[in-house]
Amino acid sequence: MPSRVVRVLPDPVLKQVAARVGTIDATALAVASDLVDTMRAHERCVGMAANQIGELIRCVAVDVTGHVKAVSCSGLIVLFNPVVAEAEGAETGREGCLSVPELTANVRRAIRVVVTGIAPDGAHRRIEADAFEARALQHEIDHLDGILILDRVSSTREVFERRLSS
Amino acid sequence: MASFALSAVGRDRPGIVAAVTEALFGLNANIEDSSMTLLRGNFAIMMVLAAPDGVSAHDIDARLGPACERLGLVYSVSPVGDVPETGHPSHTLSVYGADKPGILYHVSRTLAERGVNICDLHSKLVGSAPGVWAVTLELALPGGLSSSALEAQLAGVARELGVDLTLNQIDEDLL
Repeated sequence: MPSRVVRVLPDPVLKQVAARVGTIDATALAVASDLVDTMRAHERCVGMAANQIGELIRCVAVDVTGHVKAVSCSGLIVLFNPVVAEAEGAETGREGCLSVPELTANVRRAIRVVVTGIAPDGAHRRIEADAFEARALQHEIDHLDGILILDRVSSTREVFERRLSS
Repeated sequence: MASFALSAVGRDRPGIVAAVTEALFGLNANIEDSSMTLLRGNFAIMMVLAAPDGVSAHDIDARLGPACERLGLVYSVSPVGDVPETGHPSHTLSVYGADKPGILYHVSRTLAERGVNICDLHSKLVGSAPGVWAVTLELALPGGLSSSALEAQLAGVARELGVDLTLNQIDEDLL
């Protein structure tokens, strides 16, 4: 499946709430597959939510494999209807988002989370994540509710211009 | 469209931003990047704006003048060309310690000598005399200068000044 165009602000799809997935059918699986391909197509991108490719269904992909800030690592995670079931601790970290180009923001997130959801094979999954993986999961699940990093900023000094050069 | 730099500062009170932006909106000018903040009871405005063709610095001045006079703001407007970006920050630097004159001078001189560009800077004096002075900066390092080399040089300056200082790399993760 192909990599899709990433929607960027002010595209309204980013501010909409995605719908729960009832049955994991071929259409839902195609979205999940495109999500992974699109995430992989962007260097340094560790997660993506369906809204970002213009699909309003509750589906996220996260993969922090090999990332220096990752502590827990479940490899590639693809979840439908993901929910943060438990959250513990809080720390602030700088986040960038492909859908909010040229800006980064300091965002406070839980340090340890338990996320539940349904895997593409239909199995219920329970993922315990911490540190960077926990941050990535929370960021992507926010997307499904139309919440962007700019909605999580608590101080005007916490929005920065992103370095464009790699 | 022509670009202008505008700065204004005066004793803080409600309505400063509304008055200045009303004058600009009246000219159909568009605020691009701006930074506005409270500095020890004074409100300071800095911005770059784009004005429609035919609007001069004099025209902006004529609109702003009455509002700034009413609010007791000292202001200036000057044309700026379309200048290229000078590089995006790669590191943050925080410096803090017992307040005294010269901390920023000695730190920034070291940065300038190494070709490091300061992209952003905020400082604050807190507590009673002498108080603690803290500054945070965002820096763009020139090619060929490693963060460890810069940190070592800055550590020497910090020792002489009797202040603490930390250099951190800015993370660039895309979630």
